[in-house]
Amino acid sequence: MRRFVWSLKRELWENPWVWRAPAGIAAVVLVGFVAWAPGKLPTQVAALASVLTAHSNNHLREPYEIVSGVMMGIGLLLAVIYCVDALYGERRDRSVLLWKSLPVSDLETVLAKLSIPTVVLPAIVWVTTVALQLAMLLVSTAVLAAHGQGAAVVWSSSRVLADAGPLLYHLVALHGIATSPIYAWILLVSARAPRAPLAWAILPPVAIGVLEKVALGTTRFAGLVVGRLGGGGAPSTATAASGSGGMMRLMDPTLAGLIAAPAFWLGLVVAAVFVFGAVRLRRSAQPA
Amino acid sequence: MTTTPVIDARGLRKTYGDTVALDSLDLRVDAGRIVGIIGPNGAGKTTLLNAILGLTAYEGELQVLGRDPWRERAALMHDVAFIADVAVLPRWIRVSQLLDYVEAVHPRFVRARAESFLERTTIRAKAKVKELSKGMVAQLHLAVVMAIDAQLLVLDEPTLGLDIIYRKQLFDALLDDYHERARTIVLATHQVEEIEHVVTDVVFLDRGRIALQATMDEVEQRYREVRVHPAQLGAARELVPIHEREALGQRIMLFEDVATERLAPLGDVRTPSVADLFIARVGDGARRSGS
Repeated sequence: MRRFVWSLKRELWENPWVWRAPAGIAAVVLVGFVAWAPGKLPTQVAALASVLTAHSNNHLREPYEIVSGVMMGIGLLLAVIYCVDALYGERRDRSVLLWKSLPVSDLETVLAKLSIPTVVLPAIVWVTTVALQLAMLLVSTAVLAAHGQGAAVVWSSSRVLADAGPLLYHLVALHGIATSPIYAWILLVSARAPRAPLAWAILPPVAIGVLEKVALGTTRFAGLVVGRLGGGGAPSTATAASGSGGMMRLMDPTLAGLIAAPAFWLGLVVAAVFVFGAVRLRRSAQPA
Repeated sequence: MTTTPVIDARGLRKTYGDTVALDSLDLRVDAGRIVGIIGPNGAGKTTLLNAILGLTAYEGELQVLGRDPWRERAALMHDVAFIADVAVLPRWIRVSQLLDYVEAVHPRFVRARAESFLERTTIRAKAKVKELSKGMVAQLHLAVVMAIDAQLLVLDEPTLGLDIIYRKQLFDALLDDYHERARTIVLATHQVEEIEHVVTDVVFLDRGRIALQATMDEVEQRYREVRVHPAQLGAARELVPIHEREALGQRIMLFEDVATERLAPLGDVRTPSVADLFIARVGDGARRSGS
């Protein structure tokens, strides 16, 4: 376990952008919010104060949901970028020969690398998203106070604290673990590609998608891949009557629904096969 | 009494397509030896070391410290340290991070020993590898490897691209360490002269086969080089030298298993250098004479 934890630490040393990029983007978003809030927020709150309805609540919640969505997208993008270079980079700079001179197995190394997109990055995105949303709330409170207005309505409408738990679940379970077949596939390619691992990772799935479309006229494979990348590991369990609030969307499918879905487990089996392949390839990896 | 060898290879074979890198090679290395694996480029030195270190699959039997390196690389690395190349430390890592990481994952790494080695250099703990010169990177890697209490130390072309000062420092450090800990060292190079006074055994590798494996004592006992007097050329050739060459107008012949008493009347007799022996056994002369 100690070797695994330190291998994770090493990944963060090597790829500090994994946490710096979300933090940097959050900082930029916050600066934008600070510039926007004084001009718009007091008027918006004043206009909505007399007609506080579910609709107006949604209106106040919008910036927080947009921020959440942007950070999720950034997280997925960073996860893919990380996986592309994870096992290719150590061959390119020949450092694979150093790492292999140490008593750390190929399985431990590959699992540590898989943990970055499946657990570490979602956790980083969660921390930065919640921190950013809290900072936005504090800015809102200060702006409204300067205009003699209370901020209670913004705090309650934003649902930052209430949605923090569901957001963590959504990021780790859906964007992380349920998306692991895609990350494991990219790791597999990264362990073998002689060069341009991104092209090697993208072209075979695209070719399969095109082949399916031409031969069968369907787009199931493409839908499967895009669905996984979008955080879908199981069929939706939400119903029209269950509301359209942020928490409901974040918890769709619920943990129970996810665990009960064969597609989720099938995805994990596919991920395990790709991990096994990546371990075998790294075992005989030579510098690229 | 027979002791378990540190390295025991039998019928070791490795091919890359139609190219035979190792050709049914047998090799035994006993504990406490410093073995120099010498061969021209493409002789199979790196392939052999990669097999010993579990970095490549192979055919045949190979045991290193009683383990199968291909199946048990991670476990084997508790007792084996190696430098595969002087340029494999990642450029992004800080010296202190490298020491932290190795200390965390290697139970036999003695950090104080590495730090003591580094104190004698100009390498700062906060420096990144990309800020160090090639010689300093080699020093850093050596400091890490020397601080591992490994039974077997493997070095592949450890001085490639380094200047004379760093090369000398490296071999001095290697010998100091050997005298302190008496571990087994295997080093591969094509710079024959460099390791002549360092090794206890030599292995000449030629096109995937062992052309010679001998201790330095055996080399001294079995091989003689004679600067033959012109009048004795015929008599000398009757003793079947394994190699003959001309230098500064003199014929120089190399003999194997011929008594010094028989050679002395022919000219000036001395022990050949490893480089001369290498050329005799592996070089063009040997190929022409078919020895």
